Amino acid sequence: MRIAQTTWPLSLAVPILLLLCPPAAAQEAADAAPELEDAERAERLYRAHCARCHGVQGLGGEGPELAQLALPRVADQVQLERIIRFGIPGTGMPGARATVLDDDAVSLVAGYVLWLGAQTTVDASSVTGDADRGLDLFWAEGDCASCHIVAGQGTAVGPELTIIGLRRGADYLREALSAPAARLPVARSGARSGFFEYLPVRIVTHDGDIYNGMRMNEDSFTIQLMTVSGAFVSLRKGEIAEMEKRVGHSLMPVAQDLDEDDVEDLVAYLTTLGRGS
Amino acid sequence: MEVLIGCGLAARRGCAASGIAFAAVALGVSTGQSATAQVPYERLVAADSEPESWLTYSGNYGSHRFSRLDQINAANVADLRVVWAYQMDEGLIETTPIVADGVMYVTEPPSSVTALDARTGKRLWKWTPQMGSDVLHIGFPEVNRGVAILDSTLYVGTLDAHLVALDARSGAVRWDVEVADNAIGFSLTLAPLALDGKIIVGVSGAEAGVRGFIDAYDPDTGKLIWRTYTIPAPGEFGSDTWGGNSWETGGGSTWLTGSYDPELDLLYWPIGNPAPDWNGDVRPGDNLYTDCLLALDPDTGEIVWWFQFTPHDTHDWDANQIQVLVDAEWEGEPRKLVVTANRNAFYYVLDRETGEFLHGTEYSKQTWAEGLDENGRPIVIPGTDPTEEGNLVWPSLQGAANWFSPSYSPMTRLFYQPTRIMGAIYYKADVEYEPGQPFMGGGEQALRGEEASGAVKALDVLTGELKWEFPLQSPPWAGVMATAGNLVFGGSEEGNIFALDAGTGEPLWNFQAGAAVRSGPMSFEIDGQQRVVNSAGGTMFVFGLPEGGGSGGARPGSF
Ligand code: HEC
Ligand code: HEC
Repeated sequence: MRIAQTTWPLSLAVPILLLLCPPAAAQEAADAAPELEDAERAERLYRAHCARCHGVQGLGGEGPELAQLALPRVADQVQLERIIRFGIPGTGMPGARATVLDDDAVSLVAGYVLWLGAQTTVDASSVTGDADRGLDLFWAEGDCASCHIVAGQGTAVGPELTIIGLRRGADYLREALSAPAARLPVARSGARSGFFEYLPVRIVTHDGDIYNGMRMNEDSFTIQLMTVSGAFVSLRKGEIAEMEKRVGHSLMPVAQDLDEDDVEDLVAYLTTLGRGS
Repeated sequence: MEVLIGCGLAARRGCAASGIAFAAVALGVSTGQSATAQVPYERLVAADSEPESWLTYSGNYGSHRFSRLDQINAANVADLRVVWAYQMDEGLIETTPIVADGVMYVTEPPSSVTALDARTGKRLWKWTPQMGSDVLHIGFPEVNRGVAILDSTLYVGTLDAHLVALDARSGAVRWDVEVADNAIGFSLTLAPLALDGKIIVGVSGAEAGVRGFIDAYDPDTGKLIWRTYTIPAPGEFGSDTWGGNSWETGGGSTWLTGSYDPELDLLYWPIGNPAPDWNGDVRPGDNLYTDCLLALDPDTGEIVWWFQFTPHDTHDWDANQIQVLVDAEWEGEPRKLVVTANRNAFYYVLDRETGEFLHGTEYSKQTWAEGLDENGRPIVIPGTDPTEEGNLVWPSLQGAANWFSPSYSPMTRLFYQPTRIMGAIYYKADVEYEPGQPFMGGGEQALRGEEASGAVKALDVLTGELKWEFPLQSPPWAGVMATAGNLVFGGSEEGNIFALDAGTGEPLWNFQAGAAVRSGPMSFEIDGQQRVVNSAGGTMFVFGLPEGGGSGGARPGSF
């Protein structure tokens, strides 16, 4: 998979590796956040040139969330610098001409964007679980693969988890397992940016049909759902008598049978996904 | 085969690529529909009397964006389908085409002009300016919103801040003037406005700290007739609303087409935000004429009256929204009004002879003002300025409204406003002016997704009271057009091009175009068939009813 081959600039090797280190060392390294070259200027440039669309914290706005490790179009710093310089033609992502950002500034901003992404996995917490046991749980008793695809295996009811270790920090993953409804994943780019993915929806049509599923897309005139059994449903709003968007619910079952250790082991396993270890 | 024509005439900047169709046009050969564009000022003034054409950016001088065509109506709009489509050069389409005498003139991003056969969509010519690879555009994408037409000449503003006059028949350049220096951040993205013997343009560039102005040019020669700065110099009226030298980099750009009242002979032009956007400390005072509406004498450029919507703005709430001229009875008296739904989330009714504030009301969620006082000045809630830590305020910097067009229907007396319901966390930062660099002094983190939404709102034109609203998933960037068929056409970020019942907001038609809609709809008639035009993604779609009008106007048996 393309993103799994991501090579990270030297400055970022630290936060990524530290999660694979023994916990004590990890904590120490996490306290010493990765050094940003000319941090103050980099932040100023980011705020002046990017924050307007990508948000001051990189959480997105007019443009997608940049505070993520696995940016879909960014394999490395070179590619990121190219996007900053030339933009993404045909989209709202402008290029910055040399008279606006010189090469030096482009590389500082790129470093800042990668640093923003790195922050998402520098969790204050440490990963204490046993990743090997987590792997067994995931593929056997946990039955996780009945709803998730990892490296081509499994069934797609919930999100693909092949590179979840690059996209999410340990705290996030812990919460995803113990309280899945607390935070539904949100689309990070494209037209649905900022909208919940996997939002449970209950619909009753004028004909009396009832549909329970997860919203795949929606506009003012139509809605597209996938039921838990994987069936695709397309409805026009005119056919719908009642629609409940069940914000605060999740179709991901709370792992009732999993104790705290199991959760930690699963988190340890998920954290490795996408890191090639 | 495509041949190049007119390169010699076009001289140093671009030339028109023309096809075989050009010959017929240039020679004035009658091909059923006259293809000769002769649009004197008299036709522009009387635009409402020829609804088959669309002669100015907003459809008429009053900027109603209302089509008097009624062939497409509630009873048949569900049958609308694509008659032809045109694929543009890469980029965002924010343009509104002009249609005159069977030819459509449309701009393509960043600043090209194309003439199309309005019946079939076949291209007649295309002109592309040669711009350097390092054209600046700080704070906005590479867009263009359209041309103006006067007599047989088209006028287009370019991203590198030129105004170019093109021969409407061939696309050959008649003249080309530099309006301002792109290297310090000036651009032209707006459709120029053609008046009697004048072409009016405004500039973009406040995010680079320019000093804005409005210009009038001689249509025949490109000679500058007058320039009115939007930021007063020391000694001029309003200069005491700027601390220190802040006026020099005060912004106040003029990047959206204004309106015109031929009877009062007044030009109405909205003015953009002060610079730097979010750090107001460096520019103490009300910062005239930023975020104002100016009424100007079109012969001299003299400011006749002004009204400021957002004094000392710290949220980037440009007043660059379409100013709609309405004649109505106000408290028993006939009155000439100008109404606007401002980016700051208030709807305003002003007397357009005097600039007197008559009424104002909130039309979208806002958290920055308790209301407007009797002069229309906002009663600002303390603590709503951007801060270093961030401050959540509605609306977001993109505003409750923006450049995308509202519409006014004289039939329903409703003002239709695509509305962005979105807050943002505003940040303030230090900033120093450097020529050709962003000069904004902060940023925002907009709420989005489920936390933001949009609507087409129908407001009573006199009171601003909400009559109905049609919900949109995301805050829109697309304009609307009402028609005499009692419809309102619009578009969504989700790719819907749609029609609503103008009286009730009931959805009547929807076409999923596959990409976000970012332009304003317009309508024209050809071969007795009404057409509705809107763009999505990189494609412009022309819709019509099935009867007779399909396949480029060919009827059964005429193949
Ligand atoms: C005018 C708004 C705007 C500005 C300013 C802007 N961006 Fe973007 N950016 C966008 C939009 C919109 C997209 C999404 C394009 C798409 O996918 O349609 C985007 C996409 C991106 C992407 C691609 C993410 C991915 O992998 O899919 C990167 C990286 C990016 N921007 C970085 C930056 C940086 C760094 C800056 C500042 C130098 C910046 N942008 C300034 C609007 C903007
Ligand atoms: C019945 C189907 C189902 C099963 C079984 C299931 N999940 Fe999920 N999972 C989902 C859905 C749906 C979501 C997305 C909604 C949400 O996050 O609540 C999700 C979300 C997640 C997320 C968050 C992903 C992100 O990027 O936000 C993780 C991590 C996860 N699941 C792991 C697991 C693990 C580990 C197991 C096994 C113990 C498991 N899931 C079992 C359906 C399921």
